[in-house]
Amino acid sequence: MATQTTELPETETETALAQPWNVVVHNDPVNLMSYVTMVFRRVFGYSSERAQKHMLEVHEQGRSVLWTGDREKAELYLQQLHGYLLLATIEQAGE
Amino acid sequence: MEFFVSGKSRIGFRHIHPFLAELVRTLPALLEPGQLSDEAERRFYPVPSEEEDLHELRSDWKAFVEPELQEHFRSARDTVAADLKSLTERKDGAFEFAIPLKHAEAWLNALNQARLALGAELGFDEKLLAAPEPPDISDERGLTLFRINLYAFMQQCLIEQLE
Repeated sequence: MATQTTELPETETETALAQPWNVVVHNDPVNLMSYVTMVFRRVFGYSSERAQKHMLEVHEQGRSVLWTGDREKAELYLQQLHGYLLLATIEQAGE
Repeated sequence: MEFFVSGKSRIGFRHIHPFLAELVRTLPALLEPGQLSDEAERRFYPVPSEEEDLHELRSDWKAFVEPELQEHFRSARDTVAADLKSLTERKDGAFEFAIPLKHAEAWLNALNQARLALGAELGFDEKLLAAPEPPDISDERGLTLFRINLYAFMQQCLIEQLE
């Protein structure tokens, strides 16, 4: 049996959800470096080395992209980071 | 002031000078509802995105995520307040207290809340916080900086134990 597929127009919301999103952590003068590293390990499951690399990037460059992927997961990561009181945002990747 | 581990399930601080004990005892009061400055509130609940066209995300975040964060922070503060009831003066005049290891997460969170609230309220920057010389505790800013550093020491002890 032959099947026919109809292509639906992509809405703006669908486009926004389909695009990859960055989870960004910003520098903060108060949070301890060891604390930030620990949070990166816990939230993203990163190794000590990778977590420390991101922590240093935040400290030296003011921000670091911790993760890129679909928006729903990015928002979940963001909520966890805010729960640890890190200064974090999400943004569309490639901007 | 010294961090200690007791068996597999308890940790604590001992040989705490009465002055430091008072700064520890009053930690939960810093985080009582209504005590946070506007600067601290903004720091506790930052915007989820800096992109201007994400109004819906920002309003959803405020409506659904912020209440969960408030509850999370309140729970940590309440755990610490309850644990601090065991802060006891010893015969030598120093204080000590012990907490279940499973409360370490709540302590880390509450200590962080307190440090951020104090830092945001007085606008402390990285240079001041990293200054090697001890702060002058005879003025309010110096005392606040001292308090932030004390809580940082406690956080560091907990992190080393948990990692």
